[in-house]
Amino acid sequence: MTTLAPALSKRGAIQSIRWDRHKIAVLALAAVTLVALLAPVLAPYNPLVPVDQPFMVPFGAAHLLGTDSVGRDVLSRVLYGVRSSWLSAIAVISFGVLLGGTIGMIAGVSGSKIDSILMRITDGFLAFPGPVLAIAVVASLGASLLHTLIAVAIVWWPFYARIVRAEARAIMSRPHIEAAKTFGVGYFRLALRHVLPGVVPAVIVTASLDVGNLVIALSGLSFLGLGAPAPSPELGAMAARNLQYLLQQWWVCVMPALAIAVMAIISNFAGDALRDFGSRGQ
Amino acid sequence: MEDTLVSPPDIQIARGNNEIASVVGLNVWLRRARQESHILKDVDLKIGKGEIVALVGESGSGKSVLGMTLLGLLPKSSRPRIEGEVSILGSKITSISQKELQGLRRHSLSAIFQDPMSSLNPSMKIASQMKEVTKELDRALFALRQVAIKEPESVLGRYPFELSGGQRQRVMIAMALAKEPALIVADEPTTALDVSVQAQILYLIKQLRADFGTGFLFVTHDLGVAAEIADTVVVLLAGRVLEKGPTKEILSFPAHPYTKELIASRLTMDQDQSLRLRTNPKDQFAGFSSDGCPYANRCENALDLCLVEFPGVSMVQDNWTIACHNPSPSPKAVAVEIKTMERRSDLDWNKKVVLEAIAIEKSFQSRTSRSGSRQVLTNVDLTLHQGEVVSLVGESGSGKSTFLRILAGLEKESSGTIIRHDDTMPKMVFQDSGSSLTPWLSVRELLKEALSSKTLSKAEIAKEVEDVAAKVDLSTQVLNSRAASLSGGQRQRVAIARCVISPPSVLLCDEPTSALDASLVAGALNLLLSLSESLEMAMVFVTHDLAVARYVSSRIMVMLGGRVVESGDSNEVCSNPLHPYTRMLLDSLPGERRGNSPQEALGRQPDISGVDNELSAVGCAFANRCPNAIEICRTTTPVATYISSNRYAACHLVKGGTK
Repeated sequence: MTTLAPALSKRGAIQSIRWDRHKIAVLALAAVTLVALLAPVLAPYNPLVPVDQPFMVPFGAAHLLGTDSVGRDVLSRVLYGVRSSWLSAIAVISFGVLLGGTIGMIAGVSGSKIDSILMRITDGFLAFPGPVLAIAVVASLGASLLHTLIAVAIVWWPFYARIVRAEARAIMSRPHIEAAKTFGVGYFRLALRHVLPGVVPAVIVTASLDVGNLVIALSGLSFLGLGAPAPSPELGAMAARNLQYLLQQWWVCVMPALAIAVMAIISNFAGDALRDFGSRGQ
Repeated sequence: MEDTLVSPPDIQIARGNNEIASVVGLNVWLRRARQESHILKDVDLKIGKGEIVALVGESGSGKSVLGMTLLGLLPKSSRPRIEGEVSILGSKITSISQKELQGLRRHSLSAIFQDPMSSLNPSMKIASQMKEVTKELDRALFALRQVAIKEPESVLGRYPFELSGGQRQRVMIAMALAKEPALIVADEPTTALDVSVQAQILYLIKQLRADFGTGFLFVTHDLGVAAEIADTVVVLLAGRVLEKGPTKEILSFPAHPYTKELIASRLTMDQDQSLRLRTNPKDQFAGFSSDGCPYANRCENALDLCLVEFPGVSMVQDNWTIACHNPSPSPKAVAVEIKTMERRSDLDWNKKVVLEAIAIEKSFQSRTSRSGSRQVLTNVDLTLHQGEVVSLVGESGSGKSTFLRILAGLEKESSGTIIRHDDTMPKMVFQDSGSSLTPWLSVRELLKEALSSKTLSKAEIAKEVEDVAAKVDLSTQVLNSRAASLSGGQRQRVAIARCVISPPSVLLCDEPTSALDASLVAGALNLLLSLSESLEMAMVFVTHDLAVARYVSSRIMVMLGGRVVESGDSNEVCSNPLHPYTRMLLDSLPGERRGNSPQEALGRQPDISGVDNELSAVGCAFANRCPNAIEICRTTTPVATYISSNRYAACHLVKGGTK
């Protein structure tokens, strides 16, 4: 049986096709990040001021995605919107990975009492209803992207704490940890060299899947008016404010919505791809 | 040596007629790691009615693939390409439809796999699983009785996890037999079992083929098992059949150099302890041309021709063929002439004591019942002298591994004292050395962190690492690679190097050879012994194999139910066992029946009453299975009876004094 195990664990036939699709997904993830970073360079116009006639149809020579109700370039606004959503999502995730990851690692490696205490605290944060907390924060501190991010980050990191803790617990029960202990390896080194590298793949997969979730969550909040205030180019807010033009000047509302969908899909495919790469490597 | 490997000539089966399965010119290609590889090459094979054909080979030789091909179960995902003819009961399974194949599998083919736990559905009771095959409960019950399972009615109502390993394998065999198949493919069915249970299962299989006329393809890596059970042995290497013929003749007078090596490298009870084991000096993993003989690179008889052309099949006798260009000059199947530094049984008892364990007890809190706790160790003593090697042997569940873990400090004893005379913690070589190495770290890093002295400079550390690597024969390339990318033999050497880079006074070894291919065992044992001698390390060696225990150690402690039931000089324990349990363990060793007459061999057939390794709750733990048990055995736990100052057994029937 042993000789057959590796053959069975792989999906064989469709493997070579998947490979390429997976590569594309990861490349797309990188491309979106690049677009987000380079939006100021890529955007043809200033997104905040009117530059032409209102409601110019898309795919024209001057304005690829047309102009909106006051004559601002939709393409430029979408690019800046992508930048703000994507980078916000990455910021929230980075915060989550750092804080949640540290707490999860400490809990997972130490086990017993410390584990219980840290995880109950985590559960407490997990119990906050995200949108309600966001409304509360924004209502008390005023509408701004930063406030929304703070609200989302508070409810987001516990997921990472749980994931990292679960992975670390699983690795801690493997024989190589016991072996390392018999050689007198200290807890700090144990966590950093013997546990952490095994946790990283799961975190990377989760994080890349999560970018899409966060883009949607943040856009949803901004759709409800809980994001950056009026003139700034936010995809959710753009879709919400231009909903009234949907039947005549559809592009003003649809283009930002489309950008959200594309980001969410790419993040999902990339997450799947990374997970498959990981499982193949082991 | 030759005599010990011969199976008792019990049931004579007429070969040739009543052919169940035949394989002619079989070639199989499978896709692995996105590459098509040629797994089986020109394999011919016949299995007659009631015949047991043993397929012997190292891991990776393609023996499991051959079994799967006969079952028509090659995984679709590896895109198998089959050339040649495989017919079972006259129908060619390579050309019949999926439906016909399913019909064939339903009525005439069965399989028994290595691990019955993973082959049985954990969430179904035995009764419902068996009814899938037998339809009626009565027939399931009948099938369980056929495999001599104890209390079959109660077994039917249980889940797989509530059964012992031996019982599970019996259930698997009962399921395989229930439809009275013509052919059963048994893939290492006893590898995961204790030797005593293995002997019972092997005997059972022999009985069943006699009663039902079932043909068996018995895949195994263990020549001893093959000797015990098979009528015909087929030796496979890298997908090629090198030798094929009647078991008795092949094992007594092997014709192919590879078969000779396989037999010579088996560790037997006659192995001279003062000699190193014979290892093949040539690199086993050197690549070979796919057209040549796969053994050519390791073969001492190899001609230039062997490297480029696979030899044709030639006849040795009736039904006995080999594929070899140059079989005649026989390599000297002797141990390499390196004397060990001292004869280990002449151990100097005046040497300083490095480790003492006194009256160790261990109990685990029972998870199922609130009140109870499970006693796994009772009053175990061990005094270890510098450079001494002690083996702990026993069946699984005897507490030998728990005791080792307590010595290593991985488990806390419930009561008793451990005195480490030089205050260093013992190091441990784990059973599965692969999983004891952190897969993503480099070998160099793993070795560095095992250095106990933390005050060394960078250059000194690097030198220590290079030194230990040289000692265990690891190349610089291996030092720089990650643990996950190593071969089995390399992992083992890294695990050992990690223990001896700062030599401990005590090295603990938990079944260090049981996960290794036969060809690597000798090298690992040689390495451990030479290190133990040159570094004056004491070793505690846990093993279930008495032949290994006898060879490596000066003292053997036999454990049963958490107690030491016999202890003494390794040669004395093996040649003159005091405790009936030790005697049973010795008799269970496959291919080690030392009685030459068939009657005597048959007289030692294991009890197949299905008791497995069940322990008696009160009195002597062996009382249930002991042929000599008397009244007192069932009521009073025997204490150690000394027949000399360092030889004792805990048995009511042994006469002697207390210490």
